[in-house]
Amino acid sequence: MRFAFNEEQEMLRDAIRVALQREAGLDKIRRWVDAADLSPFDACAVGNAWVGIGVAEELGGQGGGRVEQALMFEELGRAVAPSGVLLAGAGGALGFAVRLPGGAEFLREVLDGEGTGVLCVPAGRPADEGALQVQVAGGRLSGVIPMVLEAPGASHLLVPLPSGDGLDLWLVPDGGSDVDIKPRRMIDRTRRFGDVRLQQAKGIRIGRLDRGAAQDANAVIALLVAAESLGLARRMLDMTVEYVGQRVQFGVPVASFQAVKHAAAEALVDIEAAHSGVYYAAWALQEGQADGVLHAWIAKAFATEAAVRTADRALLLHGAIGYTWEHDLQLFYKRAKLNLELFGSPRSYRERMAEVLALH
Amino acid sequence: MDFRDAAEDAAFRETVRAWLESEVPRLGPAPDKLEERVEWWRPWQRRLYEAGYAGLAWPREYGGRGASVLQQAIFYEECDRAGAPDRLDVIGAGFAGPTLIEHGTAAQKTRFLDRILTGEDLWCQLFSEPGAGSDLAALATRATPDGDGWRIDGQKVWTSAAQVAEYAILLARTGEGERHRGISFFILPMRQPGVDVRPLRQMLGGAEFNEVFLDGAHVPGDLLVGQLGGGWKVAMSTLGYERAAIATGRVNTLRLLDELIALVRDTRGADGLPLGQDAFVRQRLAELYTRMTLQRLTGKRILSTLAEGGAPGPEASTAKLFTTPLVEEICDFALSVIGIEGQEEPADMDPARAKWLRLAYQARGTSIAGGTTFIQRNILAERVLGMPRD
Ligand SMILES: Cc1cc2nc3c(=O)[nH]c(=O)nc-3n(C[C@H](O)[C@H](O)[C@H](O)COP(=O)(O)OP(=O)(O)OC[C@H]3O[C@@H](n4cnc5c(N)ncnc54)[C@H](O)[C@@H]3O)c2cc1C
Repeated sequence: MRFAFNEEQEMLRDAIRVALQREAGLDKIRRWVDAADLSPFDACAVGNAWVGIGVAEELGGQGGGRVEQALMFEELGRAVAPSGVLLAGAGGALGFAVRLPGGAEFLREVLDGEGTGVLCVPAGRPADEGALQVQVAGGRLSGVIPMVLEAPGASHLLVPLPSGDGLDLWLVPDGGSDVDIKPRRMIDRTRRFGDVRLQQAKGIRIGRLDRGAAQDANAVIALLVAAESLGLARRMLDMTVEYVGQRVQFGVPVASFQAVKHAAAEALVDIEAAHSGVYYAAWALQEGQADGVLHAWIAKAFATEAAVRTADRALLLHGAIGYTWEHDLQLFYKRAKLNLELFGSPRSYRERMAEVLALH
Repeated sequence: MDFRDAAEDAAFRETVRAWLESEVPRLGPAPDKLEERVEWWRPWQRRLYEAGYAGLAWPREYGGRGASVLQQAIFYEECDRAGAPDRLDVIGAGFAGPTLIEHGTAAQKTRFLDRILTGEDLWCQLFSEPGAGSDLAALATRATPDGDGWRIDGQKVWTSAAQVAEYAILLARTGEGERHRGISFFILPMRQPGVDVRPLRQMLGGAEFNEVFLDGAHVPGDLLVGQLGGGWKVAMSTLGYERAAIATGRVNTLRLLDELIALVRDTRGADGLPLGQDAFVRQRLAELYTRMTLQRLTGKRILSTLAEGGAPGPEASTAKLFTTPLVEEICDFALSVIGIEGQEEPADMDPARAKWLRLAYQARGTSIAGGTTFIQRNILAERVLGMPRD
């Protein structure tokens, strides 16, 4: 047994951290947000080949597995980078397609290295529930999928439709008049969402995932959100520890007050537990362990809540300055709140866990 | 013990209710932007004043009605029930006014109190500074004698509503060196050249608090409140009124619970069943309902003590600590019921939903303003339980 990153993983993490600092620092993210244009980050993700991390080399990816992908998302969280493109694209659409024989190649060919394929599900629910409100007849899809992550700007939508016990995967190109995408603004402006309306949209059915495969695919997404929240929490705690060490009240740094220390210590307790959950789940999913999916749910429910608790502690410990737009804490705070609900709330995953526990 | 309204209070409640029921529906929707909201609110406040509902518990000679604090509380309860506008004069009517009634000169009371009640003058509170937050006594703004008054130099920060205020209650240093003893409490006219108000954006985007730069601002000699160098004592009573206002009613938790229950009734779970059948939701709502009930009863206890002319007991010091997390949790629970759509830009949301989000953030501000949660706990432990200072 070894519960630690290997040297390569550490190098990967450091490389991503450095690249994010250089190419997606907070000053840049604020500029992108102010201009309501996150596309510079998309270019950065492509340029650094992050889209391919956790994607097999024979599929044109960078190799590595779920642990590497989770490491990357922890770093993206630390940087509060506009990671939606990686979550909905590489984590979502590709993560679903890759489970079909030939699915990934197909997606790659369609995209031809150019556009982005986005998983088209309501972002407030676990992705393996699929696009519930969509009907299909004669190869044409109709219905509304609310709050789709990264829908504005996608070139293709991968729509999983519930069918029997599994999901049929349909690929729908955007651009035609039969696909209407209405952007939705969130308080976390570092993420793009849109409502997708399909009106007799022409799609290609590329295959079918059974229930287990759909759950596996969703578990990866849940894991990545959890890893990102872990990164958000770590960064918020770092910011806080630094700030309370400098902020003087009553003639001493406020860090010297026990209440302040205890709040920071409690945040660390949360964070370390989240770390354990995230990286076990990553390994277990990668290795196809029987408990991988359950652990992804555990990680999602716990880490996203831990990040929200850390956000509130960080805010209180910063005092009024943390309550301002100018202070960077708000970017992390809002992302932490959004991640709580993204691709399934803690409640929805706990409900699933309770099923597994066979309580009656 | 008798929790019923006395006969005259019950009659008062009925009169108020009827009046509000005819007046409130005539109001249009409140604008979002503070400056516009103030202009929308002023005529309403004027109507309250003319109907005799402003300053209910204030002395008659200063424009009040000399009614009991109980009737004042009844009035606010009925306002919430009727959906009357939020009070925009909390600092004037809630903290500054009562402070003047307690510590001001007769001339100050005559000059300022009535105009607070009519809504003509809004007030702000110039206490906090960049170097003086929790440690308010570290403030560095100076007041130096200047002709018949004082010249004020320094910087204040986090000043809510400074951009719409006519007057401020101001703490400034008049003595040398000493912490608490060198501080005096002034009334500062805000509309003058030495006062520069610069808005600060809050985390949700609105600019409701400000930095205020004081560069040779003038305070006339008759606007010192209390003794020269005795400002700390005056400020402590202001902060007491502030805490009481937060604890007993700035946010009506009864109404929030009603709205939360309505939201749950209107929502179905992922399983398609009414959310109200979900065991977890039922437990959580009952728990929040319990805390709301106890919070309101504690509020009544505080009022009852005040109505009998007593000083607030330990329950008053616990009330802010009990109330603030309750409001946060009610809002967070509502947002969890709404789901990811509750994280939308509030301007794009249905106003009834946006309200939960705004209030969730506002509650976080409340846990910092007027003494943070940690400072409140210190106050409880040290002043109420008599534990040593650290
Ligand atoms: C929304 C909002 C509106 C406001 N409106 C006004 C206003 O109108 N007028 C005005 O004058 N001020 C206003 N304030 C300022 C408010 O009073 C201060 O923010 C508050 O007193 C805390 O000061 P600070 O922000 O400097 O935090 P700091 O004092 O720097 O505190 C930082 C952290 O250290 C902790 N801490 C500090 N000292 C201790 C201690 N002894 N023991 C344990 N922990 C400690 C605090 O709890 C906090 O977590 C407002 C603030 C907010 C957020």
